[in-house]
Amino acid sequence: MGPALYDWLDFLFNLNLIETWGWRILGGLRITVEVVLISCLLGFALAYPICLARQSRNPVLSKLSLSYVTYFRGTPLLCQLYLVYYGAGEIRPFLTDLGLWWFFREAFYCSIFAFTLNTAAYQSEILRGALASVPRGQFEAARSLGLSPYRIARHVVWPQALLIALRPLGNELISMIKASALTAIVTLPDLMGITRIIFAHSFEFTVYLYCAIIYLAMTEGIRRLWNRIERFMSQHLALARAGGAFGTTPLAGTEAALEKPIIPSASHG
Amino acid sequence: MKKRALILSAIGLAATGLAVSFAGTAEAKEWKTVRVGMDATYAPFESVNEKGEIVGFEVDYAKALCAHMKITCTFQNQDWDGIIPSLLASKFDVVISSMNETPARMQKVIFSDVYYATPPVWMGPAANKSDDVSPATLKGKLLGSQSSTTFANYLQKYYKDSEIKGYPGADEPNLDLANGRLDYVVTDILVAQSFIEKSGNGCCRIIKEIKREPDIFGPGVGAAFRPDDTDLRDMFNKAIAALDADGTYKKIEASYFKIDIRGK
Repeated sequence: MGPALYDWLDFLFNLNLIETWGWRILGGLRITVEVVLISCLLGFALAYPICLARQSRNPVLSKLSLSYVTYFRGTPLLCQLYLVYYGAGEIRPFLTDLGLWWFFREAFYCSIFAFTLNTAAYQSEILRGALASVPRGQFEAARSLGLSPYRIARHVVWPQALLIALRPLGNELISMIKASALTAIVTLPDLMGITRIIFAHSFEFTVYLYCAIIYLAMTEGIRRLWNRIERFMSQHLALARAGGAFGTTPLAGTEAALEKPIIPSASHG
Repeated sequence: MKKRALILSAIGLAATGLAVSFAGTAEAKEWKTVRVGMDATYAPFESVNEKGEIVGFEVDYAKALCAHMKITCTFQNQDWDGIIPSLLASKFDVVISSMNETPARMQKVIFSDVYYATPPVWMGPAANKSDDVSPATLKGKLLGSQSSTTFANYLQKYYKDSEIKGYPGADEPNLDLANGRLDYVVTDILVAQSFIEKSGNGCCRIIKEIKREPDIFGPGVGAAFRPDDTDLRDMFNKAIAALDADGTYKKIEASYFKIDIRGK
């Protein structure tokens, strides 16, 4: 057992590997973070217009956005990435004429393009669900108080909807982190790509283990961050439940919301 | 609860590592069926045809070797990146997939005698008339190759100031050269020729041969085995010598190539 255990520890803590390749792994991590952050933020910016289009009375807009969402949620991200990367290569003369080839030439931009479109579809559905779960009475009450549509959205609807959307949005961020490993296939040296390169040089399987631990640390970090944000955003609810430490008036608006549990079960994906 | 979840996932990871570190210790056995692993993205040596069958020079050669040894051989397509780990994990018994016998690979696997050796080449756009491929000239250029290959290692060693892209298969860098995402590709001379003739539509040309540096490229291509399977390796070596002697090798070679690829 002694030597076997030693071999195993040696396998697990391969200092030589870390010393030789540590910086490259961090470089890959940087690309992963960039791709995920940029595409999730752009996706978030796109999600609201898509969500509005989906609820629009204009049949063209709503059908278009419905097919967009159906396509991007119903096909594998890998397939979408290949379509963008190698598909763009096929129609290069056309893209050159449009002056867009510089963009589609780069694996980095192609990945961000595909990931943004994909996550925008998911995020728009999350927002749509969250908006739908704000009780109608809230709109009516706000309108009868004479609030402008902007103020209704800003002060009544969105604070409640975002709280509901928060958890699924966090799950979407986590699944994008994991999905970003696909970019290695279109030559981007992200965390996964660098891991494969290191493995090709060293044939040390441990590097995949380190890679998994880094991904795990990222997703776990986001889970914890999300718990904090949720606690922060739902402070008023906790106060209301505790019997209104600051009196009832400022919190009265939340009571209707409290009839339904506003936070979906706190489980995470 | 959360702590427990973390500990459990740590145990999960560690167990994966443990399973991997103990995999690949095979016991000695009688070889009746041998499973051949290859990455079939490397025409004309191995590729998948319209019917979904793996075909190519090395398929025919492996079949001839197996017929000579009177064993049954089955073929499996395997992604190049995972081909050595899969061999070590006993997913198949031998890699016959244009694997160059490099010093780095020899630390993990054992090789048969070399059965072909062809030069690697630089391939570039047809419009590129310059034959200068020195690292200084190629500074900042986009160079591509299949990742985890001797070609990739060559680029990473000498072309640090260029942007190097690694692809999962051997087809993709050629496609990206054709559509202008890459300025140069390093690949095998016969793979480059096959691509230019069949699917390149005159996009590209072979710019220059690369000298086979032993440290990077090794002496040539051989079949790879798990370190314990020396008996199987010896069987293959005998068969390789026999097919050289009875002219079978020459016959298969001639059905694929106009040139001598034996490299002897």
